[in-house]
Amino acid sequence: MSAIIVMIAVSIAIALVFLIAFLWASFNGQYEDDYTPSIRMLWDDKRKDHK
Amino acid sequence: MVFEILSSSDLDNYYCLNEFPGAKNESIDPGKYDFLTDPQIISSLVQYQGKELTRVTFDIPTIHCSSCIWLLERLHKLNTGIISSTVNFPKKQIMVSFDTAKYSLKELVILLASIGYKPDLNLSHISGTKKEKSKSLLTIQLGVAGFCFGNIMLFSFPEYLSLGIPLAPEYSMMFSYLNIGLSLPIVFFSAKDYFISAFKSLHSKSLSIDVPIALGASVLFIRSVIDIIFYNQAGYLDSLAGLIFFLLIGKWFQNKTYQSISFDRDYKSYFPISVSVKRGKTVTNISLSNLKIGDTLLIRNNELIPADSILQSDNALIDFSFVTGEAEPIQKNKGDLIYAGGKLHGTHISVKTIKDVSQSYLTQLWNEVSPKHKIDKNISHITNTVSRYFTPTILAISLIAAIAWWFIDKTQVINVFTTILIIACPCALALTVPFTYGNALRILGKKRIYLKHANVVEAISKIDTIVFDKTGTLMINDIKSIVYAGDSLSEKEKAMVHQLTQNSIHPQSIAISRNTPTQKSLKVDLFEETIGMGIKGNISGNSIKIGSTAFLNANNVSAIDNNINGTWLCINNEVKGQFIVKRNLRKGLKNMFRRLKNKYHLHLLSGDNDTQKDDFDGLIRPENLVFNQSPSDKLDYVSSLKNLQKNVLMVGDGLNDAGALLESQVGMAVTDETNQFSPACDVIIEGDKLKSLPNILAFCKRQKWIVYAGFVISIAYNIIGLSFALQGLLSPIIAAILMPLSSITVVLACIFLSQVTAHKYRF
Repeated sequence: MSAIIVMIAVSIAIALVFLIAFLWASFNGQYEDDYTPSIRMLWDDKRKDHK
Repeated sequence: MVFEILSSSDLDNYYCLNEFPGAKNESIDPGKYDFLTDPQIISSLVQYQGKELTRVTFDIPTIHCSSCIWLLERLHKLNTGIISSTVNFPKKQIMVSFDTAKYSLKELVILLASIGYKPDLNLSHISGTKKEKSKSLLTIQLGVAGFCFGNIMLFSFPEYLSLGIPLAPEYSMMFSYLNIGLSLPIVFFSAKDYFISAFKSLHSKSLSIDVPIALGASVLFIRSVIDIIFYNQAGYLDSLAGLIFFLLIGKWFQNKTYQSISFDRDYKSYFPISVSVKRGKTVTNISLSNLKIGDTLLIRNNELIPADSILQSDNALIDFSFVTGEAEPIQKNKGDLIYAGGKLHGTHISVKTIKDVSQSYLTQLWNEVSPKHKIDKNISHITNTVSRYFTPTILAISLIAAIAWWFIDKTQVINVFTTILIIACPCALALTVPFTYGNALRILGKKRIYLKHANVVEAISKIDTIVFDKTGTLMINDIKSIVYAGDSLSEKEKAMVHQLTQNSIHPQSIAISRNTPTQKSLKVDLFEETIGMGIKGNISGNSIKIGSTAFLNANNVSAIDNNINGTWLCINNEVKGQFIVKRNLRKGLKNMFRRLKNKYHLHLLSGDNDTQKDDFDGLIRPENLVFNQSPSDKLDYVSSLKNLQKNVLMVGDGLNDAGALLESQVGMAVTDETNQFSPACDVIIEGDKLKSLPNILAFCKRQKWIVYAGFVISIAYNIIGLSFALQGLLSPIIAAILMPLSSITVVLACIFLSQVTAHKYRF
């Protein structure tokens, strides 16, 4: 019986972590621009093989 | 030049990334940006200004590809004063932080302009910033509701799966109290807008759809809490969480916005931030908001006249096409009144202002119309009409049932009364409109027809009258069809015209030479082209000139016609005639009119004269063709149609239609480039899509039927639920199955049907 209570506490705690992560991301404006970062990560600083 | 700047900073990789990066560059005049040194203008433009750091955000309409992002995020390599720059591609914005001591705003703007990314700077940027907070709040409300909904479902599962065998009481107690805890954020945070809106609606003595929703939600919550605390039962909190979660998804789906397109522009986004003012002998740049009556302004080529003024220079050519709809630039002489909004063609002039910017003829017109009747983003008329009948019906049913049960079984009265209110909570009904119209909005957006918000679809479906503007909207200048009007030309003269124009690459010359085919080959001597004026030359002893009247300098120019604009032909100092660029209907529009004229009342308003009246023969009734309309005439015309109980769609393009666009039920702005200026409106459509207007209207009308179908489905589910509730048999598990099932059926049906109609009406 006590095992279930512990499990439920753990499950709620994990769910809360995700909720907080979501809130943090929203307040940080991560959902304001969902396109540019996908492009930004593709650049290298300098391409080696110049045509 | 851009290449030099880039390669000097080791950024020439830019050219390897995309095949055709960048945009065409215009030459820039640093003096144009002098106003950016004014501390008052700086402080209104930047977001943050400290001793070490200044942060500023610019709109840059030319951002269009991945190379743009790459380059603009490497501005710090171009100048050490720039600390960082971040691009927001969907909004076409860049946020730059720079060192206040080392760099200035003016230098930054010049740098951006020199690499082809000219920031959009106009009056609207300094007079008030617009912020939309509601969308991010909705996202958070939705996230919280999703979290609570998921966990409540988890704790309700044991109840569902126990199949009548009671759980150990300590478990069911614990799960129920956890559910109460989890439902608190849903009721008091996620659902609060429904309660506020319902309260407002009751206060204004109307019954919006939010009233039964708020009623159902509060009954659900109070009944469940009482059940759990006093009777040790499971309660309906899972249904409550599901209800709010689904409703918020609907709201979120409906709230799709096009970030790079602005629907609320007014004259401020058309006017510049600053003007050059002559005071004594010095010319200074001052902010437009500091402009006083009586100031003398210096206007350069292609600049706007920002306030109604009197011309001080000898003459000027002003292009009013955007303001009044007249196609040709107008010649103004010293002492003439020039209305604000005109654009100067040619050499610089000076003008004296006689009115404030906000009091000028055009801006006043704009301020007069308050868009109070405009389509509300959050209120759907269809849903509210249904709700007006739905809410009293449900209340009546629950009261009658309660009275009936009073005589059958007194203990069941409260149970039956509350379960009816719970199951009748119109979740599926409230989801029909957001999903149908939200989906229609997305379908149209994919075809480059942009709606301000989803409820515009509903407004379009009611349209019965369409008013068109002519210049720019229906007719565009087609330089290829240039025609000659005047004294008839001999074969030799035609050949001379052909030969002369062959020497020039000006589009008009090319068109003229193509339209005067000849066999003869003649030699042109002394050919000379004056940019922006005309061409001249000598052919076998005859002098021939083609160009503006000022260029011809002939004796009998004014004798022919008062209309001295345009391109004229002059042989041996004698004016022969004029070349007229014909304005043609956009492609496919004749067919469009034929399809529209049987179903809608069509009207045409033009700021121009009636020379092209014949083009609309048989397409629009002659009594509905109105010419020589000023912007305020257009507004009055639309409001008189509205007084006749018509639902008006105004299709226009320029500032001259702005009043009419605001006044009409639905304003549709036609543009050839979506990031170009377009006046405040509900729909922005690309010029070449205008021909599919009949299909767009039919598509929107069909959406209304889909909404009705959704209503039928959701009411059918309500009747099933009611049949349980009336017998006092509505257990939490039936409610928890029916509520999501009805919502999902309705949502899927609506989306499927609107996809099918989109397939049928291709546009």
